[in-house]
Amino acid sequence: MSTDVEQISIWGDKIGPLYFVSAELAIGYWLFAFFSAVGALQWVAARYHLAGLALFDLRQHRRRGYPLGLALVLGGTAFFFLWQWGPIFAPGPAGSELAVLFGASGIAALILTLAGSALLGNLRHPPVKQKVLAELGPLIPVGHAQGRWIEPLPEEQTDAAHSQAPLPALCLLPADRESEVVLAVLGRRLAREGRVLLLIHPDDNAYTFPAALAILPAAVSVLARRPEVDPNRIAVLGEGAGGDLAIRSASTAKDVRAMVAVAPILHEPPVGLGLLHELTFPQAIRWARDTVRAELVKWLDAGTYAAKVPPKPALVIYGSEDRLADRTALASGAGLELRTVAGLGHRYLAGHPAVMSIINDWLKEHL
Amino acid sequence: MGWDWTLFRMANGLAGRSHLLDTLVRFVMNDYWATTMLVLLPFGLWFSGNSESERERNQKGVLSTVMALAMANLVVKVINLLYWRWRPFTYHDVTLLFYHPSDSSFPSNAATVGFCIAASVLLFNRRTGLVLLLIACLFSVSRVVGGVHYPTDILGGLIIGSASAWLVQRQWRWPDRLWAPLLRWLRRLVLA
Repeated sequence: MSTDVEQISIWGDKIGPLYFVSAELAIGYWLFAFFSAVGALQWVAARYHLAGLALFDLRQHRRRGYPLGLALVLGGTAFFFLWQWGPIFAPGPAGSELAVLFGASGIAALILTLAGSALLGNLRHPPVKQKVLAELGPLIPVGHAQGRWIEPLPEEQTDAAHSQAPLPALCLLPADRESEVVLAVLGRRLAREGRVLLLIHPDDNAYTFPAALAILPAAVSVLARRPEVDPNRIAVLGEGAGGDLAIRSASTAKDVRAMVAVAPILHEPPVGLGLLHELTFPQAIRWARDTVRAELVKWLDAGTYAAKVPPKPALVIYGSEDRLADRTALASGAGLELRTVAGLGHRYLAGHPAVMSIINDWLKEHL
Repeated sequence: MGWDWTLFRMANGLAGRSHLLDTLVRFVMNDYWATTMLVLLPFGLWFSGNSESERERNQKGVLSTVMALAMANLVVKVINLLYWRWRPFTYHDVTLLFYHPSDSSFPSNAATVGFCIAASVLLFNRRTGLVLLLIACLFSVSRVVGGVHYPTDILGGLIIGSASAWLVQRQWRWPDRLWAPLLRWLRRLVLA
């Protein structure tokens, strides 16, 4: 035992009123509890679909969480008991010391899991590149907001004939800066088919209620001024909170021919651990603190106004794994065409190839 | 009490016969494995739930379990101050699979902690509670087999732990009012 006491001299014999007996035993137990806690979190992430806690790819391989969790608990146990088998059966730290060690390991496990999940999530799904926006050109004024043109490609560069000018046009309403990049990618895809697009820049000042309601009329006016645009074939497309804005704006805009809402939120999810179903921890913190979006969604009340969009053609698309939007709030929106894409979540939905194809085909038919 | 001693002899009689059984008993009865598993499951429960309401019920339950555990430990401390019982190995020839604990034999700390957590969780999450009950039973029985507790020590721990759990989880309403603002604050940090 004397050697054990010497070994903890790195801390002194005691830390405050706590006496850990042996540094090796304390460190061993801390690691055992740490790996077990990480294992428990992986099991829980797999069982309850918490992407923000998963160190594995929850979307692709959810069931891997169970063996991973079990392996961490068993591995931690084996490591501790094989390393410290002798000291385990000698007088060791008391319950209060063990509680402190478990508490510290639990907190460390949670921090590492949340950070690791965010890091691995970024590696698996790299954030969309901002350079896409730079390639589009400078911002232009659109009423009190701003936007960028996405020009139709010349016909010889496309695989679809679109010589029949005047061309249809779309106003794109993103949810936030990341959504703006996603819609830029979608916009370039739609422009290949001979459409003129105006991508609104999601500025916090413009995205407040009721100022946001003036964006679509201003965009329609800007689009209609272009000689190649057919003013009777202008549509609006929004993603996330931009989808809510698209629904609300289209419900009153007479000069809008069709509406597409991709994953409109309709009803904000409660802030808390539930956000980790869809988001990493840093994303969830940003989401929870984004009161501008929360207020906008609340005031837009798109679930109620959805019923007023028809008889205009209207398409609403959701991912089946979307936990940030409340599609049940759309019950009043009879007459809308609702599509659910299996296996997809809320974020970046508009940038998914399957969703881009659905939108493109639907616009060909209705615009 | 005669039956207490008889039961102890029967259980402790299993020790020292088989190396494999002794190893298993020592693995379960030590201060680390069972206690860690007993805390690990409620730790996981904090993040569990298919809906917001289920998650909130689990989180309130976990917080109440911590409170019940603190109360049970306090009761054990008070009993230890008022009553002392020597360990079985002090005056009897027993097969000991463990070191010589120096505190009072009654009530069993291990059983108090184990049954308090198990009973508390059982009152709000049956499936996890049953797993914890199994661990608590194994932990407690192994302590008798290993020669450090009488069966009545375990019974005392079971009564104290379960009563604390029942009191906090089922009889007291005020802890819920205490947890509500704490959970609201933790939700803003995406931790609850």
